[in-house]
Amino acid sequence: MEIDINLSQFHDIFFEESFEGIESMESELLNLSPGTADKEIINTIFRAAHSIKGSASTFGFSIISDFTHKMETVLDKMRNDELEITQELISVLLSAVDSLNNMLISDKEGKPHDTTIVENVSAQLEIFSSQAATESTAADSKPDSDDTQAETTDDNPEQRWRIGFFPDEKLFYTGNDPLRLIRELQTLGEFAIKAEVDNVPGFDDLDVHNCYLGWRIQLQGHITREQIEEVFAWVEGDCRLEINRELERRTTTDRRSDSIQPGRRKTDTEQRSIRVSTDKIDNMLNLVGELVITQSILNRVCNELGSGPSEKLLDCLEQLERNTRDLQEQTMSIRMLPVDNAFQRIPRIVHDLSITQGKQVALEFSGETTELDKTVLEKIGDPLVHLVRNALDHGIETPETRTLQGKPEQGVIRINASHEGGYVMLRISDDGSGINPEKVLANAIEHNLVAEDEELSDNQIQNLIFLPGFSTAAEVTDISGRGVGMDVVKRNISDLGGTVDIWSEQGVGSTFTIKLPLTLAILDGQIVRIGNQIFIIPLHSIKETVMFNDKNANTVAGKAELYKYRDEYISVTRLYELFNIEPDIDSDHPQLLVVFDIGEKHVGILVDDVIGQQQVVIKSLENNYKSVPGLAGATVLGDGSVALILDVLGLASRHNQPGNLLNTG
Amino acid sequence: MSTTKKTVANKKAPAVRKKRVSKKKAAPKKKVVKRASTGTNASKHASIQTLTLDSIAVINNAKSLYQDFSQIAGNTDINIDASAVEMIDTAVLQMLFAFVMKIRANNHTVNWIKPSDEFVSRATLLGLNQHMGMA
Repeated sequence: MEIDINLSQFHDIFFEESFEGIESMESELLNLSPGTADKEIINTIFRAAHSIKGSASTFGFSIISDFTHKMETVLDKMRNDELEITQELISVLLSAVDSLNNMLISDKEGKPHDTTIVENVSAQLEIFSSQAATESTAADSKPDSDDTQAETTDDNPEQRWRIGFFPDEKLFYTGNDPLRLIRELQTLGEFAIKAEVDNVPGFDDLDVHNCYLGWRIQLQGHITREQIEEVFAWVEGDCRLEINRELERRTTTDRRSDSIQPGRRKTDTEQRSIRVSTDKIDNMLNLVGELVITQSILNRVCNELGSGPSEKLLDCLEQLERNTRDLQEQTMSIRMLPVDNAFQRIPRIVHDLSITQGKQVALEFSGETTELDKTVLEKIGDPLVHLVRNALDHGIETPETRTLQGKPEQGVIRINASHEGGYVMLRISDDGSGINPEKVLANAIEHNLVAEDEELSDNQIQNLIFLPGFSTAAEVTDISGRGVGMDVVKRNISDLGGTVDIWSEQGVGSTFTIKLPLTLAILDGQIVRIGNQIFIIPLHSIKETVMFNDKNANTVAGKAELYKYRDEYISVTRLYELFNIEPDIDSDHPQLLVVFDIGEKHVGILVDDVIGQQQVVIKSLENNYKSVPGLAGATVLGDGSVALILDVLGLASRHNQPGNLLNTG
Repeated sequence: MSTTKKTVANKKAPAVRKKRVSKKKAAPKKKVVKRASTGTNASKHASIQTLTLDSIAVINNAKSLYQDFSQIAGNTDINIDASAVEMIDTAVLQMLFAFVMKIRANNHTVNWIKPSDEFVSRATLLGLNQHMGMA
């Protein structure tokens, strides 16, 4: 039998929506408390499972469909009070969600499932199903009392519902069949249906893959609105749906039934969006960036006009600049997503770790709606998770320890996001034991990370944890302790153009503050000159620019150059040596030392001149040429020339290797 | 009355099952032609044609089915044999509804030949049974 519609083209949508469903299931399971059958939560989880099951079946992912069916069976019994909500049950369902997630990933990548784990979890689900069956059988054998029946009727009186179901034309493309939904609706109670056929075109004009039919349905029975909504959960967004209780004089307010006009699609916040490929957005952003550069060049050319441009031309240019900036901001805002997306994994991690370690932890979020560039968001997830793991592993004490210290048994981890001065600030704080500076220093000395006689402030000692190879864990666990965590965290954050700072007090707690740029597409840069070449230094990384005095410079062991900067000696990188550029050394105009913060230390980069500051559009070297050590990208200046953007951290780590970094000649 | 062998150009696997139509000894008012090599089984004579639906009639092969039905001029009464239908979905039922409307618009009728329980129940569930003359 030949298939007219290639359903595989919809697989991406299926996977995307299924992963969203899994996120929802996990999030709600974590909100479920043992002993409390929160029906709203259970129904949400059930709907997600039901949707995944239906779609998996439609697209031929039968193993996923069968597995989800088992989850659905258990969830159904939970919401019917046939299963007690225990921690064990929640844990099994969380494991089932993990298995489902892994199966989806495997199918998406075309790899086989891990059948051992799937079978184990399936067996556990079936145990709960059979346990529930036993319990419900025992319950059934008890004679129903009149009181019980009365309670049921009163809780859920018989109602008559009028339902309008008008699928979008493209409903069939989503893999959904109205027949299946209507059949499910029919099982709820007494049922009458009328097909709305007016929109079906003549046979000769018919597109068989479009749905032109609609239906008006009357349903009567002990049926709740939630039960009806559940039937249509999977097509939410792909249809116009009206659910009205017939005895009511006015339409009950419902997010799917209000403001409905015949033939008009209802609109609400949920449906004012479309999925757009990030490639398309990136291409658009790139074009807007080109527009900004062109506008900048136009500005410069105009300013260089001999006779002076007319006032009208200047006004137009000014307007153009404003419009271009607005367009750029709007375009960049398309890529901005709430930072909440980066927090998704954290509740589950805290839940699992707190059980593993026998600790009680409350997790608090604030500022989740703070927006961040999508790329930054994707890359900040891992560092965030690691910081939270460390807070749990090294920070929060056991309930017994906390009680002895006069603290509440339950520790708190707070994660806050906010916009501050053009940056996004993420703060991860805990009320645990804090960082022990003596222990940290001893460990750093033991690992030869610092000299024994080196004098360091408490804050400097705390920052030692970011050094590669540092770890104070008594034993390596799967959580932390391999000494490869915090330095990678810092590096990842630095790669994003951000910084991380620590505040900690023993016995009180710790706060890690991550500072991130809003976007990676543009940069506030310091324009510097080395010889006849122009470079851009990211402004956020600059501490200070001072005049370079040769008398304060000393070469150590013939290689590293140190400079006396205030009360300390800092390493210096002579960029013209590194880049093999002829410097422009003029006794009347001494060179300048641009000083940077690298953790608790300072480093300096020597330049010939500082020209000014400018917001520049970052162009990827990797995409247009290749990755070059010491360079973070490139940009086009107002005169049309190309300027390279320096990777300050990368340069600081290679300052001892002159001449082998670049040859920009 | 001459009969015409109807060959459907569509070479795709038919959603409409081929059916051998046996000639009756008594000269019937309706003459039946030999089945087509692919696609729709059309028995064509002056007043009626017969189409047979396959056991599976769903969206996957709706287009093929549509093309088969499109070959029917619509200027005769139509018999649709739905006795073999085991599975049918909204897309195909919608198409059949549109086809019925077309035939009626040409002042002809569509007769359902022993529609299977599955066919009837699904058409009824969608509220199309009366529209399609199955009630």
